[in-house]
Amino acid sequence: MSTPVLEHPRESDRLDPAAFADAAASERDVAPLRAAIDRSCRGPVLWFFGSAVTWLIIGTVFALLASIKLHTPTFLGSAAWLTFGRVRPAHLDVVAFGWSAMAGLGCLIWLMCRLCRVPLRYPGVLVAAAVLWNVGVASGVTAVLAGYSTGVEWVEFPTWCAFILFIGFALVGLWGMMTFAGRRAGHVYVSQWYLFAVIFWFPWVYASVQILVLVSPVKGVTQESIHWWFGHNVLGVFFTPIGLATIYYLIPKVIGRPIHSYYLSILGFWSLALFYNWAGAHHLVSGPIPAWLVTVSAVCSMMMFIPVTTTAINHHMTMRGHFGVLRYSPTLRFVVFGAMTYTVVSFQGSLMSIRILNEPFHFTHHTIAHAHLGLYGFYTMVMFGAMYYIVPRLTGREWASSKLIRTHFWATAIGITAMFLLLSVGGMIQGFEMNHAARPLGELVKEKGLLDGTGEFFKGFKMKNGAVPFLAIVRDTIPWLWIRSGTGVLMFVGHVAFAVLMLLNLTGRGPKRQGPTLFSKDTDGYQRAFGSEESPAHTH
Amino acid sequence: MSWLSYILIFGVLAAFGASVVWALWWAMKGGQFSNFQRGAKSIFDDDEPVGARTDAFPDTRH
Repeated sequence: MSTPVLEHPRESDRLDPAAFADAAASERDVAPLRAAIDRSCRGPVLWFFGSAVTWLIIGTVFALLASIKLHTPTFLGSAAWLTFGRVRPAHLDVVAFGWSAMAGLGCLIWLMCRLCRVPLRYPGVLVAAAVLWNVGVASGVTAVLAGYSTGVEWVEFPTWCAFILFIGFALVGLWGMMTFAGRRAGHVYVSQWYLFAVIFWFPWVYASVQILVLVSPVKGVTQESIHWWFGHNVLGVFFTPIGLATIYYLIPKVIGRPIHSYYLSILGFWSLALFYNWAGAHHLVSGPIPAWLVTVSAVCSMMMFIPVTTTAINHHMTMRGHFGVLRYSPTLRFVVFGAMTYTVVSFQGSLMSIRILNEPFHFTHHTIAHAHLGLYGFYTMVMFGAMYYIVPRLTGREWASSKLIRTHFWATAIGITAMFLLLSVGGMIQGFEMNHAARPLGELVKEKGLLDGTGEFFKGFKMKNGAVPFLAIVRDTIPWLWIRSGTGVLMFVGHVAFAVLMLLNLTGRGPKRQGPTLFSKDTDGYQRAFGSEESPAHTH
Repeated sequence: MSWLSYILIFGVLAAFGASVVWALWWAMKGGQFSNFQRGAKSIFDDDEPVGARTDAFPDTRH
């Protein structure tokens, strides 16, 4: 199949009906064009995805080490570089900047090309960006393990490593702007709004925290305000928009149905843009910062109900009547799991910013559970789904084993669900105990009328005989920490299954694909199972 | 705070604030928000039209 020559001029920004009709006429060329776009993305995107999966395995090993050390502190405790204080930030940084960022940037690159309807240009720039990013993460995590961490959560890498990452991101950002400038598609799809936001927002938050906290530190508690503004917004203006952009593209594409309400999707983007970056200071509730700063942050966290609700309604209504497709599509399974989790974790996050809920739950394992639900249950699951869709289109090979895909899905889905639920309970108990450390929890529960009002529920946690000293609180967390390690092992099994699938695909072991763009042209049985679908009604 | 910090905070604040306003203005002027149904369908085409599903487990396609 020959690569089409892109001689069509880009539509003008003003989308008049005549121009759109011309564009529709040229749609006959879309199949070869889409195949050409996918082929052109092959090198750079697979560099990002391959690196991401490698970092995922490394990051999960660090996660297990850190988790085991929480309940068995002597485990590998004799080597300085394997102590908790180094392994734990190594886990965070590797899964955040190695796995999550590289998977997300791979998606960003592919989505930009698909939505701009142009094959990828300047692949060398993106490969260089991937190499730089890998060098940045590898040198950063080595420095952290060697004891050269900055000590600032989320930005533990030494500044020179962060600078390498920054240059790598700048190359992707510049490439993204050039691709957008040369686009064939006149309409800017909602996913592109999110992706463009990432291109501008991430350098902003990352440079701010580096300069104001590490390079030229501001004084006093202002540092912590900036630090947690970054800690919150690296999720909100980097990972979340990439995850949502991917969901908004893949759910409609996989089930063959446009978004239920495009209007709501645009409203969701602009309200997220307006409210998200005000939040962050609620991580410092009861801390020595101005109370109004925390209040503003909590109010804007609650305002996030608007974009989250619009997104939840949109995803659910788009999927309505199509949930049966989950049996057939690995992509949809992961992406819909991620989309549903986005709703849950966002509402939970907003509520946790309220002082009365923040006080017992913050600085406990409850927060850890919430963080994993966000970055794993939502973002990581969406990235898995995206890779299941994208990689076969780039390599020309389908996935080698359905069993491994199912193993991957169930191990990760059950793992993160169990981790979230059980660690949340453990964290809640820990929080109640820490807030009332001088009193027996059973008595407190009885007084407050929680649960059945008798405190029987908590008797198993050895808190009925007097006050709860701090070490007792620590001991009470141990069963929950064992559960945390167990669920971590389950997720690790899923990751290994996925890494094997990826390796088989990249080395050409999967069955060859039959069509240029579809997962398989032979979708007859698949179509027969569900019939054709009329376009759903839209709101305006 | 140093002058560098002030320039960074307020300069970037102004630049990013202005860029967001500009992006919104550009989108409204360019008709990006004028026909939402067309926007929703913009990711479909003749080859992968509305109604065509595009993903399945490897062993469920026959």
